Amino acid sequence: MGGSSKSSLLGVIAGAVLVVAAADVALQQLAPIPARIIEVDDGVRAYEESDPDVFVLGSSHTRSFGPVRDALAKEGVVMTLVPVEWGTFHSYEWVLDHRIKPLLEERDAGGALGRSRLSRAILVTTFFDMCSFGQGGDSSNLPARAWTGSDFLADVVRNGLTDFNRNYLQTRYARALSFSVLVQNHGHDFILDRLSDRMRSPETVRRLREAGIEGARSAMEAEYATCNDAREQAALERMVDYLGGRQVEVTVVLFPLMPSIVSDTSRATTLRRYADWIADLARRKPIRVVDITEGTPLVDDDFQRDRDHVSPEGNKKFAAWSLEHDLAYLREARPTPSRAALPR
Amino acid sequence: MSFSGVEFLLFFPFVFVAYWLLPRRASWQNAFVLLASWIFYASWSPRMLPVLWVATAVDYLAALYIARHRESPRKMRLGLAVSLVYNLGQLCFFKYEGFFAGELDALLGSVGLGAPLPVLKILLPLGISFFTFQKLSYVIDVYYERLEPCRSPLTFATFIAFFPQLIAGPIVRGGELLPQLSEPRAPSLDTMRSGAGVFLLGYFKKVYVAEILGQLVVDPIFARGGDFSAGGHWLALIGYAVQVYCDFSGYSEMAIGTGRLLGIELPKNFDYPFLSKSLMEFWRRWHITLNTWLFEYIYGPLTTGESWFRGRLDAAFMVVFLASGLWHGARWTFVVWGAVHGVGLVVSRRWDEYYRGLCRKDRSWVARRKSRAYQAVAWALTQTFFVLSLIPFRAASLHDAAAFARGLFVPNGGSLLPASTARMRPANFGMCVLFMVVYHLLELPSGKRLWERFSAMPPLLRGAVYGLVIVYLHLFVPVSSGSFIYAQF
Repeated sequence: MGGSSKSSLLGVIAGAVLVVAAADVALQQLAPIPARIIEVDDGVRAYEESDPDVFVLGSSHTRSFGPVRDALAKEGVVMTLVPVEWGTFHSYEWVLDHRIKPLLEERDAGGALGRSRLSRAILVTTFFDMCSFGQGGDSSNLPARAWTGSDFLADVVRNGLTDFNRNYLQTRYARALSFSVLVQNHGHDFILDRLSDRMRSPETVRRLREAGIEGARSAMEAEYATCNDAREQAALERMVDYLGGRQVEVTVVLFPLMPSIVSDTSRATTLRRYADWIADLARRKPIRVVDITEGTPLVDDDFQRDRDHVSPEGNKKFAAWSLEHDLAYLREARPTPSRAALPR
Repeated sequence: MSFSGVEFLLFFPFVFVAYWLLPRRASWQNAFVLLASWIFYASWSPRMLPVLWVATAVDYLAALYIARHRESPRKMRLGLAVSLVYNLGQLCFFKYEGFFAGELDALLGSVGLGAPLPVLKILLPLGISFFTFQKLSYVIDVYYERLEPCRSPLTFATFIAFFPQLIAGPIVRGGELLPQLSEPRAPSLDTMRSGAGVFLLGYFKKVYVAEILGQLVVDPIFARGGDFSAGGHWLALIGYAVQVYCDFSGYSEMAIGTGRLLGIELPKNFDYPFLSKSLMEFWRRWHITLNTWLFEYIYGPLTTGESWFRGRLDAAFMVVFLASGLWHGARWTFVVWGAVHGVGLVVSRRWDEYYRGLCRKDRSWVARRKSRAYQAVAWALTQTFFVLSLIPFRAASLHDAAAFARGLFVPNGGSLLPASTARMRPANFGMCVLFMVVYHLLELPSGKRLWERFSAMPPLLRGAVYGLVIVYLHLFVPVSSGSFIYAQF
């Protein structure tokens, strides 16, 4: 290898690396890397380490329970959150079966349960969890958010690399390069959104926001036809049965929605149907239902720009309110059930 | 595993480093590449790996059998026949069973003999059309003594399974690859630099141009043609021509680049086909390795030697392009596409003969042919013909093809383009067009000079330009850019 071509190649590589690094740093000033969010792995790890009294499982809204967890911790109640981003009931069931159950059922050499304190489970839901999206394992959230390396390898051995299991690698790749806004931005476009915002007048931004709210409102009305999937419903029922069988008190929370996106039409259709089904489930199974879809003190400004997730400040507001109202029962200790008779 | 997927980013650096750390012996290098190739193939479908193994063994043994019985034409023919029957039988079984059974069933049904034939649900082994043609050419070359049979099973298996070109070509001939695999490879900085450059060019074509055009224009308009105007149909069709080109030539360039990074030179598969001014020229520039194969192993035997049949050149064109259509897939749309090109080449050849007659009578016709006006018309006709021929190629059925063709000419009051989402900014469409124009201009003499000036710039500055491209790609490349159109063939 010639010395000059080697230095030329190194020069090209150095030039490229410098520009990419400089662009990344500059773009971070414009669009900071989003704060790292709690994922299934974090929740499972916390569960493993803490042996919780209360375990919260559900969609990304589960993260809103962070301030609730912190407030309860001061009162000696240990709560663990396991949020499944972009999940529906079948995803939560998969996480329960494959990630939580082994911890719940783990026994020591003498046959005693390793973790025995769990007395309550909260399933955080919205109407969305009953929708047909992602049924049959055809959703990317499980490989991306919930799989372990061995789940990935087992699937590759069975099916080869597919668009489905490739999500595992893509998420790991993004996590490995979590310092780069360019990598984190891929597929989310928040850099371009920030850039666009800077170039738009306040009036345009307001108009776009209203259009977004209108879009979300009509989407929720239009979801009616699809949000009644029997397979998703069955997944929730199986979770309730399993937890009930382990003498864990189950609460299904119907999580708050941004007030502006709820219309009379969706109240009478999508939301009604979901609430009715949950109420029917409560008649058939021993569950507690907390329907706070509406009626909390959360206002539009307490939600993030995606019109779905509550902001960090909103979460604190939600915690303060809910622990005084519908979730106040969490402050009352529930005796740890005797699990001596549980099947092995 | 796809060249443009994140998994290749994990797989190839490992293969690259380990490969060059091995002792510089062909057997070590081949064994490692073979193992990597089988892992690469298994990553698509582990169950299909035995198909590749058996196919490799059959042709390895068939070629040795032929070479061992040079004194006996009958035994040589037997060896060749075994290979042909096995390879074509395998291709028919996996690729055409459903098609032929379905068609035969329909035919029997139409004459009242409707006993349904079994249509098996068979998983198509990836790249079967590519590696089958590669193996066929090897055995035929050995039969005609154009090639010595490969004695080493390791070298031969590496030749068949070489992962850069296993899934979607280029289709490599034994004479091109076996000698390279028989010698130890040594790293060369220039080769690696050029390999990396070719790979990145292909990557850009695939993950940016092909994906943007597919998602922004082609897929939505082909899916809901009725919603779009005639202009929209034309945009989708031209967009599809560019998409297929960038997708497939991008794959070929990534394969060539990957091969070069491992010290192996693979043949060129595309040579600026959109600059062609005749159909014959077009097919010398588009999917070069397949067309060379078809002309050498089908057209050649059909047209050499004495014959009473005066139209055999035309018939051979038809046979070649019908075979090309069927090679692409077991659908009537591909057959029609092949037939259209067969007819196009016959007309083109007849026109050439006629024009040559004019030239012989009057030399001024020679100058006319070289005029800019003639060249422009020839270019426009060639490209329009190719673009229009893609209607059946893209359509799922002849009915869909007819509906799309109608949409090109019948105004329906629909919109020109699909409403773009935030992620697919229309500016990207403009960038794709700009890329294609610049890419082709760089092939012209003035463009080549410009490229030379760029190459003479300080390395740091050139690197900065590449860095900007990387930043741009990170901002604008669509997320789903893993699959290749030609991998399905």
